Amino acid sequence: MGDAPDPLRGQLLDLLLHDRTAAWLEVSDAMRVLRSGGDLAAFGLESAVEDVEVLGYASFLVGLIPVQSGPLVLPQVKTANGRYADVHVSSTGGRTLVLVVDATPQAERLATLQQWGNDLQLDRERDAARGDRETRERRGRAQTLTAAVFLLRVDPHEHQTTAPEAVLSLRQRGLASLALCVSEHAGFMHRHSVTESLALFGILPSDGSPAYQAAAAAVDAVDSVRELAPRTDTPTPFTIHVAAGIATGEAVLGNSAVGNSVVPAVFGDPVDRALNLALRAPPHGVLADESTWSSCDSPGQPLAAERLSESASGSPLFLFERG
Amino acid sequence: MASMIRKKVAMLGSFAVGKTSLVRQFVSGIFSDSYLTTVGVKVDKKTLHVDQRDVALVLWDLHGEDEFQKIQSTYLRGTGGYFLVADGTRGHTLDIARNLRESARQVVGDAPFSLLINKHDLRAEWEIDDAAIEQCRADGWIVHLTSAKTGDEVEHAFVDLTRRMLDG
Ligand SMILES: Nc1nc2c(ncn2[C@@H]2O[C@H](COP(=O)(O)OP(=O)(O)O)[C@@H](O)[C@H]2O)c(=O)[nH]1
Ligand SMILES: [Mg+2]
Repeated sequence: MGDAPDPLRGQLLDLLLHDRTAAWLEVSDAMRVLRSGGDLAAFGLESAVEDVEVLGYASFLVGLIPVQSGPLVLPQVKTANGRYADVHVSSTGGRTLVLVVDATPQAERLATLQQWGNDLQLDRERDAARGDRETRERRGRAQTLTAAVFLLRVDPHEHQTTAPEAVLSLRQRGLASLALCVSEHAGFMHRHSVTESLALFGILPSDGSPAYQAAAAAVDAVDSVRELAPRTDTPTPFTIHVAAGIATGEAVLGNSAVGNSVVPAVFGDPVDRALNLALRAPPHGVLADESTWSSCDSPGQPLAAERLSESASGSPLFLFERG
Repeated sequence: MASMIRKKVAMLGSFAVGKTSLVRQFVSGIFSDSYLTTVGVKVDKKTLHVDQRDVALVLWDLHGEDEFQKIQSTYLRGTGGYFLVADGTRGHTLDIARNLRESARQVVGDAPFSLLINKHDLRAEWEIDDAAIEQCRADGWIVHLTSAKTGDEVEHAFVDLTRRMLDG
């Protein structure tokens, strides 16, 4: 990419650091490719080489060149070979620069969530059309998923006067951080109920095992909260603890909103089990029971699990840690 | 040789009204009953021969407006014409089409468009009635009753829009 035009270099460097595949084109106002580079083939653009008419190979540019005002960003364009790309287009002085950046993981995550939401909405519309109000309110879908329950605790240190707003703000940052990490990982479904210190997520499989994704998400989320905890050299009057439980099983996905909006919610056995595990997990630990653990195996997983001694109920529990 | 005429056509409408199915029927003549939501935008191509001219249509199949994604107006830049798609079996999708018409007008001005009321094969289950259709026509809209499933009116709708883009 060393031959990329100057304005793109800085941008490209940033992108490459983030490990995303990228390609670029420089196009004249007469729609000829002047130069091109990067991983063109990744986006089905390998024929968009010097001097060809660009619109024959990059049809998504039809009508766009030259860009009339300011740079244009077209998010999540599905390219010829099935990959999604964010397309950045900007024109100056008779030339247009086109930067194509892989956005497939983001698009696939969104697809899982959206498919579920749209299906649910269609069911509700169908029920409503049937005038079947009762079913509409209660409707849910049974599906295998993994529930992840996080318990968050903010403790004032001994001999400190409590400042409720400060506790609240740390707790909110903790919850936000949990939500962010979980959504980064998996077909993140929903922050179902957040009370003072409890966050519940249902994790749908997007690829591979939901339990594996949940474990990875939970470990990340717990780590992220731990990072919010005060460092030893900057004393603050609070400590933040988090612990998590994950459990896979058949749950019901429903909509807790009335009317036409969608507020996804998850109910059922895995939720109860995950809550129980979260209550028993050691500080900053992620606990799973045997059936969840056994559905978690995935080659190259970045997690280590420690088999805890027999629990009260007699079955072993598994504690996850970053590998 | 003069370069090929190319026109960008956008598909706008609520989710699951049949935008993706209409494009697939028009481009490849196939239909599937299963519903796979569209994320972002999928770009397809098809060449039509209209009034002795070859026109390459570049079809922008947008995700439907829903809880998760609002249609971004940048997708509409450079659009030569567009379809508003409603699902005859879901009445409120016509209201969404009317709203999208307003958003589209702000980006593409008076570019030609047609309203496609889709799933005509399910006419018995339609919520959109003749009066609503007549109202759209009275507003000066071109309306086609299409079925992506049987292919009814699909080709005709695309050819008609193309002709109006060429005249414009
Ligand atoms: N019966 C019938 N079903 C259709 C028709 N067009 C689309 N569908 C179905 O409606 C659902 C949504 O279609 P899709 O094209 O994905 O909608 P989009 O979200 O607007 O792209 C799918 O299950 C299709 O099979 C049609 O003309 N007739
Ligand atoms: Mg679609």
